[in-house]
Amino acid sequence: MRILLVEDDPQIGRGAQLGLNQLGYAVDWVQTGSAALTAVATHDYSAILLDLGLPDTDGLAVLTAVRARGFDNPVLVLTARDQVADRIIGLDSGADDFIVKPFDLDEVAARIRAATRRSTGRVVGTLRYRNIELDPGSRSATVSGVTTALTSREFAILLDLIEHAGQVLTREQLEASLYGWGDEIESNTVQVHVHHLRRKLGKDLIQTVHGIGYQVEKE
Amino acid sequence: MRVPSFGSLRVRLVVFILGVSAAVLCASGVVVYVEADRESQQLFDESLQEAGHLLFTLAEHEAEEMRTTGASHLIPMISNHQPYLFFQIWTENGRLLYRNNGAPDEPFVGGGRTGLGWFDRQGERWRTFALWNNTHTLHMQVGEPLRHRKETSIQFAIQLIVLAAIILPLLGAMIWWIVHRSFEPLRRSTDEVGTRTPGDLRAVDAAKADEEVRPLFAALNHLFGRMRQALEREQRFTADAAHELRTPLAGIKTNLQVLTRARNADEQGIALAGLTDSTERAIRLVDQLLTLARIEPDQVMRGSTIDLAALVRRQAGEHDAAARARRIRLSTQCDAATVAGNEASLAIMLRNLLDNALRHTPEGGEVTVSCGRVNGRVELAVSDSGTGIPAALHERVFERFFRAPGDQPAGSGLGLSIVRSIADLHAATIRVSDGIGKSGTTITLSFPPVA
Repeated sequence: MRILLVEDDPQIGRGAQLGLNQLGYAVDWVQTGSAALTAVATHDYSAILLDLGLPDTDGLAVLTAVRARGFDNPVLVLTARDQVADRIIGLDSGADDFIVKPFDLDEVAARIRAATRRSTGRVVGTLRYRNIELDPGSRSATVSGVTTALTSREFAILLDLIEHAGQVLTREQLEASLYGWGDEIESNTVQVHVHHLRRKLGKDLIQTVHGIGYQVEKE
Repeated sequence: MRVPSFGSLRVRLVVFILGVSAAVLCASGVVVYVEADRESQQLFDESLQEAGHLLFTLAEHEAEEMRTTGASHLIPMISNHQPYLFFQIWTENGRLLYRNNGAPDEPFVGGGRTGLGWFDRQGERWRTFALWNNTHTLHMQVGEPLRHRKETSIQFAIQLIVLAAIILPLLGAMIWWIVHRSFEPLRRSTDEVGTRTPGDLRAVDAAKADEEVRPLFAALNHLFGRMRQALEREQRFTADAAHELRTPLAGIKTNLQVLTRARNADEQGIALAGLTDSTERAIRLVDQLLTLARIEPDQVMRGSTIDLAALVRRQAGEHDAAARARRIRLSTQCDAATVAGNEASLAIMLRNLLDNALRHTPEGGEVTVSCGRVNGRVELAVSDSGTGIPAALHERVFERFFRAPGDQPAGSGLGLSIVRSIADLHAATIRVSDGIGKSGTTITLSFPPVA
């Protein structure tokens, strides 16, 4: 899952980027509203974490602008002001959730998951595909009742494929949900992770579409 | 003359009004008494004269008869009518012809004088009247001891005193009631204010107040207004401060979480650096907040005369190391100048100006502090060759927690608002203009001349 973090404070920005990355998210971090708009226009994001106090523009203006450009994935607002009036304006401007600073990274991750889940119409946290149950909260996969440990990247690839079951995802698309900008992408990593997934969950789950990418069959 | 206070306006008013009333009453009593006494003396004299004439007519008649019969019945009748009236009838050669019972043997007046006169006997004073008959053969003398008149006067005086004794308490009660009634609105307002909660700083209704207390209410309302403003400012400040602290705290918390989950030394390094920076920022913010809170109370800082040039040299010296570390040329250019104020807060102000200038000046830049007299005022200017402040933000940079867009490294947003607070306390004006060599900023403070 790839997330755009819009935060002007370097300590919070760098920390949150790294912290969410440790939790298995690919995070692009920008410090200004204009950079945020450029990023949204050029990349796909599952969610945006938006700080309201930006140096160049008001965070709410950024929110309105990305919504106007058709971004309909969750936008979670980071704010140091937890006034009810601010929340109302924020929610009315298209925010999905409010997170008050200082925040807990686990909570931020959980809120991102909850918001994306809501936006895809799911109500429970776990995702089912045939005999596999995926829990994004604990990043565990249960196959026929037996829990199998997955690394955060393996989990991210599997989640991406299952969420887009029936579609072919290119290697680049899968890489995009694994790495933020500036992250070093090792060559063949997607292949390596798919290989590990097949070993852990069975050969037939993920199919290779030669020259294009991978897919799981529609249920 | 110092007026005793009694500690209560009401008591004082009652005591003074009653005192003055009593004094006026007593004075008029005395005047009435003296005047009445004078008039009654006149009346007494007139009646004495009348009685004299009457008695004399009768006595003359009887004297004629006495020479023949020696009988008398009219005179005692008259005498009995007026028990205080005594008389003697003398012949022209000084023989006492007749005197009524109680009249002395010696003549009231000697030498055949006539008219009103005085007679003293055994320590007692008499009022007398004497006259001759037409043939100048009989000398009639009438006398009346003053004791009688005094009794009448004393009786009158007693009546006056009794009257005063009745009037004064009534007067006192009335005055008390009137004063009490007059103070009623004040008492009601006092109760209204007295029972308020500490945060209730509404204005007291002064519209219906009497002219005398209206200025007090107005002053009270003015104070309430200022307290309300101070309270609002305080609350806003607290909210702003809490909000501002959240940012470095968020940095600390986030980096702490990253640190505990660090997968390698690189991540550890990043998290530690973030932690350090965030902590430094929190500490500086708290320092600045404390500084601002300490200069906030509107204490009037007057009294001492500060040598501004010396202060500038000292502060520049303290910033020398920081300037050298970044190869910034820090110079001072100060003429002798003094301002009236508080040295500690002026030092804080100058420190913030220098911090600000150094922070926004790139390596190898220049910062100059100058002071001196300009047009009768004392000016202090800090110029830098830094990034400068866009004209549109010249006012806003002095607002609390305002940070210019892209302001790096990020300050607390309080430095210049501290400068402004201290400048305000010293009645100094602030001007922002271009700095050294087109770029940069000059902040000039203009102090009023030392009185």
